[in-house]
Amino acid sequence: MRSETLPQDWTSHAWQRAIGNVRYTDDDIPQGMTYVVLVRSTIAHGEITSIDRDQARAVPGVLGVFTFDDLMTVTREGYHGTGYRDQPMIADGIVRHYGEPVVAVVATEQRIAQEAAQLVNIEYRPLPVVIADHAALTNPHALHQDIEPSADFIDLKGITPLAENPNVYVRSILRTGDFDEVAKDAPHVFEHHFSTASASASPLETVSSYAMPNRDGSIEILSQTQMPSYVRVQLARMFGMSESRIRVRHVALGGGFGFKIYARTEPIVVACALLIGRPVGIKFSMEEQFYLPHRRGTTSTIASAVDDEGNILARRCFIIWNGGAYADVGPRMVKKGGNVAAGPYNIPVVDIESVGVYSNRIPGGAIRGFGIPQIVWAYETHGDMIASSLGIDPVTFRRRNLMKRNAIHHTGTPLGPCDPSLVFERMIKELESRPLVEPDSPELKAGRGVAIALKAAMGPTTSTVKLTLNPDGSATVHCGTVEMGQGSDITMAQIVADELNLSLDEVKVVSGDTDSVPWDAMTAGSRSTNHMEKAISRAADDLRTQIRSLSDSMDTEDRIADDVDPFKVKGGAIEYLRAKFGPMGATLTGVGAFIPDYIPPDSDGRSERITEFWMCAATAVDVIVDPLTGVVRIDQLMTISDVGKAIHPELVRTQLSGASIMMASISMSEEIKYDDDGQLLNPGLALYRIFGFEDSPRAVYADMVLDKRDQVPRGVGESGTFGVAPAIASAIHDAVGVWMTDLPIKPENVLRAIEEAADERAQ
Amino acid sequence: MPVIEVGSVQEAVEALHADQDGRRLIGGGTGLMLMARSGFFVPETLVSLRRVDDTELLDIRLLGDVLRIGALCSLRDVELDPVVRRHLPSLPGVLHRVSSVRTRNVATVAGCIAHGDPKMDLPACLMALGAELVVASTAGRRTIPLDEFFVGYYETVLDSTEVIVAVDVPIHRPGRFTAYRKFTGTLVEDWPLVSLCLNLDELDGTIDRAAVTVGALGSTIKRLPQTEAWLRGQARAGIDTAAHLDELREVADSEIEAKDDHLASGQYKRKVFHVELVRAIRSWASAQAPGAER
Amino acid sequence: MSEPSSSQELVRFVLNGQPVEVFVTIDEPLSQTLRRLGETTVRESCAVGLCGCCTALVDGTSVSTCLYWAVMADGTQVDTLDGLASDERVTGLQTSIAEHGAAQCGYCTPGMVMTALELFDDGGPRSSEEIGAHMNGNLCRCACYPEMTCAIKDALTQAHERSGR
Repeated sequence: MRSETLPQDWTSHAWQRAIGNVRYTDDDIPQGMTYVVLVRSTIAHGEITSIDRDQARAVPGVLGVFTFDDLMTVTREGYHGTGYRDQPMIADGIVRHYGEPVVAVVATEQRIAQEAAQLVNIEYRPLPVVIADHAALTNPHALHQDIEPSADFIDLKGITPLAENPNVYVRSILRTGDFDEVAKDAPHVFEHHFSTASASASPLETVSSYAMPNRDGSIEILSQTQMPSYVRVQLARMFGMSESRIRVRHVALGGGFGFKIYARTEPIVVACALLIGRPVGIKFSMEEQFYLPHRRGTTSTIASAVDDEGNILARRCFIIWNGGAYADVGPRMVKKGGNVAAGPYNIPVVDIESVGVYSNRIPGGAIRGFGIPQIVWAYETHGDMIASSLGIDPVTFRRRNLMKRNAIHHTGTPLGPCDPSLVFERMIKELESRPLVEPDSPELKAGRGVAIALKAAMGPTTSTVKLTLNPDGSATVHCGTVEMGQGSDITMAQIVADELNLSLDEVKVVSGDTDSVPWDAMTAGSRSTNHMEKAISRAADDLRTQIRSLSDSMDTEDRIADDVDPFKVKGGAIEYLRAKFGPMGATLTGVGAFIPDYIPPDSDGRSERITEFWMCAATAVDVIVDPLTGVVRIDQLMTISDVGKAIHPELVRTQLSGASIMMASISMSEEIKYDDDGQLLNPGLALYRIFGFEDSPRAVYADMVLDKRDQVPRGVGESGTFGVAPAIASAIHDAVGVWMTDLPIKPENVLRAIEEAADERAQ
Repeated sequence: MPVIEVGSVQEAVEALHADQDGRRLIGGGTGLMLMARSGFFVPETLVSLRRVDDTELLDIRLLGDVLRIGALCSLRDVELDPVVRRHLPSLPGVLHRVSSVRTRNVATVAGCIAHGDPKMDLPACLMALGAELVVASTAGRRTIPLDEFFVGYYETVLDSTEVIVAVDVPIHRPGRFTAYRKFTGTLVEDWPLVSLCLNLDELDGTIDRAAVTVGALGSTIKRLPQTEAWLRGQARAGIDTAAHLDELREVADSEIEAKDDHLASGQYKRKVFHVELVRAIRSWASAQAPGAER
Repeated sequence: MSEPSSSQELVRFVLNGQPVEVFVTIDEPLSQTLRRLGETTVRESCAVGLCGCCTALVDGTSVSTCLYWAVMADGTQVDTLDGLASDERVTGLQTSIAEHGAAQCGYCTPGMVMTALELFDDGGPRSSEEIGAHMNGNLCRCACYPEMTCAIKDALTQAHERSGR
């Protein structure tokens, strides 16, 4: 397809997509596929008392109508979950959220399965429904009993629900002193409350998974997944198979954003496929996709003891993460979110309690930012409110308290090259040359706000890579990072090209098949470039060692000198391959594995090595507010981040920019709405509205801080999300003098705040 | 046979009359497909006017002081038509803000009106402009003023055997001012939370005739007769004093309904309505010459 | 490719310049028909006509195929991205999209190109506001909006210059 014009640089990523040359999962559905459609619960909490399947079974083309018990006849372990194995493949006698799958209807076509699904009749004995955050925390009825920890991840080892309140599936503490002690003598103590709503990552390519059983009992899965290695391990465990007999394949994703993670849909199609002995697939509509795990809402309280100059002396945070019916990745989010809840500020005493609670909402999963935006919403807005109360300029307030590179974080881990202070100053400088817009009409008000935020990379997780030198000196790298729009394929290619002194078109990146691609923990959490670069470097070193050993075994004057990198001499390495293996040479494969050093936190939540690297970003927002309707539009949105080494700076900028606009949309327009019975009110894009062209800010700017001392790539994919919401809130305050404390920021709430403030002034 | 492609309007009404339950007239079909996809209603047979050679359905023609817009004209056709631009200068701008260009490429004028959705922009505007529908059935033809067309949420007086043939819209004249305001809240393009259309005829600096429609708020698009009565006789100078606007607010408030729903509270919708009404009136009051359009 | 099971209607149209004949059910959206025919650049996402991923041209105008009745496509000319591969407007847009990095996951990109074509009709450059208003029915979750606006703007400017108008 016009290969003579194919660019050989970073632009090839967008080029392939513009010419429609990328095939997504549903473009190559394997032959003979049948379809499973899930019958979902119509109540948020209840015991299943009866399931009537006779009518459904009688529909021509229906191959099976299965309950959990049916699926269990081919399954060894029917429960899964990141931190706890608390979630059954489909409901096991009880439903805990509206829309929970109860029955799996398999038919020769999706249309038939859908028709038959309508004919399944399920009866429930309703149980009390708990939706709101505080109600979930104080719910006297335990939603789960005796849940088993997954023990899959090192950082989630030893988690346990609270004995005195089993609906708290994890409580994480970070304490460096006694807040009350400091507060009682402090000149000022401020306390504020914040909340965030549930939101959906909502990738445009809706989720699908396909399972193909082979006659020899092995099975192949084609799935939209950000974690093929993990899926294979989980399926092996759940179905009692050797991992060597499970093949998980994937292709490029039409958006991931943390939505296509863990093993949520694969077990269902595998179980159905094993039951009927034919390929079974599942394809979600956009509306139905809203019943998959999404961003969880939070309620938080944050308090700071502050002196007259604005130095923060102590900070206390309490965060409730409404985890929904199943814990999913909640335990990690509760811990990691709690760790950074005090912000990138030098505060002698922090006292943080972060709890994840079960409720009858749809389970909370991961979404770009992984809980950090919810955390930053609280601490940055809180900081601005403090500065305002004390009459201190918010920039000065931050300067007084911001951490710099190498600072020791509250967790006890040094920031290393991550420099919030530097990034912040860069943003302030950039703003100097960008005046605030003059609104078109005198009725409208403009304002500007800035925020700065910090995230730790998850840890420890492993990346491994296979790097093969081809006979002609080109290279093939088998790398498990999943291409989902972030440009990972071309980034990994560039890393290999740099490492082996090749041009981009001499490097082939292979991913997407657990039969040949070695372990990678996941493509999520902004970990991939950092971890893969290290793994690739080690694999390249492995190749160097092998080449050296080849050269040592040669009886030749052209032995490689000890201080020479064989790859620095173009064509140098293959000389030895040909000498050893004949004129056609041979391939040479090196492997590299990387897992960060990690020290688990002590009982106060402290560790000197809680993360491999930190990410920080500053966000600035200019808004235009209509004080008569409360409508807020974003005029300018700016992001600056320190990303360490930028492999393709152009791609980094689009990642920062895209993440910031996505988070602007979530902060202003997106909310998954529940009624009091736990029913979802607005699934689908007609009712759950996301930003389009005209909502995207008039001016968007993204850039990175590059420091010659800092030649390790750090995370990029999420940094644009961190500080967007509080920067908007700060800008609104600048414009119309009111504080917004609940996300999403709705015009009605802005108007109410303006009117209440006017009433107060009148009194 | 799932699709009946008729050769004339007469054939269409006869086809609909023959089976009133399973047959549906299809225009662009987008509204109908949304209903079918959500399982709400799947017609057994579509009656399509696509092959009808009748220019009446596809033309936009000046007939005296009325512009007759054919029922099958797409919203995009109307948006771009130079005759519309000349004689109904407010309409292209309103249509430009309806949904997306792809929707406008397919949705027809008749389909859009017959749907009976109170959130739609075009019918709200056309009602304020005094439009009438030309409707055909086996009993012959009748004219229905748009004022009388909507009777409930997605309910119109149109029989399932009737076919809208055209919409007659009184054309612009000197002294006429039309302003359509669509409040969408946070997003620029969205269904309106509140919409209103102001259509004023001015004579010697005062309002001689007024038509005000409100959409999205209640179960149907409707006129506001008391607000219109208040506006009649108002002078351009001084109409937007605080005292006047308070009066206007009271009058208009009594005519609108605004319920709480998951989008916003009724109280908020009411506030927004008043803001938009005042802004519409101010845009008239500050227009440089009588008849300036928004 | 399995046939739908309920009663079917034979539909004939020209797809990317080639005549096709296919059986469809009465309520089948054109998007599903086109995908059955192997058109992978037509993608169903929102299924309510507001994301643009399913955009194709029917008789030269862009439509949301997810809301277009396949039975109504009978006798029409349907064009997808693949069928317009040598169209100058398309190739110009594609080059500009690449240069601006205006595609990340790429799922929405063909729909963007198909919808943007109409902007070339009356020649002349457009402002960001005009482009935004025209493209308001194309969603991009990766939020390439700024890059795509620039890409379209540049492609229009270059087309205008080429035509010497």
